[in-house]
Amino acid sequence: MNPPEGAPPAKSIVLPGALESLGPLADFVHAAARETGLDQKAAYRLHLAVDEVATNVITHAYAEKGVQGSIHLHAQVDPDALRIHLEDTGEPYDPTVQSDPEDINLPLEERGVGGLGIFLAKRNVDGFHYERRGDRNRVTFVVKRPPGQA
Amino acid sequence: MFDVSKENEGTHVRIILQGDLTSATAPQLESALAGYLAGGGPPDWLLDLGQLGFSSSAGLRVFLAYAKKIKNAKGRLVLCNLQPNVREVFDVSGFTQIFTIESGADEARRHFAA
Repeated sequence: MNPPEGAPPAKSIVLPGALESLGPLADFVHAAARETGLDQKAAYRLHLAVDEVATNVITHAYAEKGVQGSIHLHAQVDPDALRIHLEDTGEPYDPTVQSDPEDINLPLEERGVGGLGIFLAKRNVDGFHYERRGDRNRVTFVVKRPPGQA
Repeated sequence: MFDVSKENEGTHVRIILQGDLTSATAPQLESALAGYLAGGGPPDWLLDLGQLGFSSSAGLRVFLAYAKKIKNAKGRLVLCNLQPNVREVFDVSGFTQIFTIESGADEARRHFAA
């Protein structure tokens, strides 16, 4: 059964730990951003951050290790901010402590893109937090709401 | 959703990207560009990003790889029509300094004019 017209978007979604989930992930993040009243630029930046972390989980925690897993997304709309929680069941891994890439100002020949994804994730949200909860990693992305919309 | 197409404009090829570039769609771009490079067309490429709504680092990885390949093949690569959000990702990543970026396709074509 379809939700009634104008119903708020789902606050939680579980997606297969596969790259094909990045499309539905984008839809989920943009719906939450709309509901929170974020502008298009803030929504883009949040989508980028969540996409990068999810890609890391799917690629490194699941595919490379031959592990089946899911991506759990939860949107928490608070008066001050939108918080997106991303949980996975991979081995403990804290992306928030990863150091920034050192080659960002190098010329073309010497440039790589290692570490760029998490760097972009960190740079594009107001808060980027990690905690281990039971058998899951949880990364929380925080985007402050525009004033006057709380 | 992502799509890539190409037009031979004589002095160069114009490659048009549409949709979202993520880790799910970047392989599609990669294989299209590999085909263009192997196809033996003009060595100079104009990458038109006017309809590219999103690029993650997976897209940047492909751009960087082909910037190197085209340079090795003695060709030139010019990007144009970047949407502001995509442009910002280029800026933050240090890509603005290593790519030739023009505002529009006409400005970009001047690089290839005989």
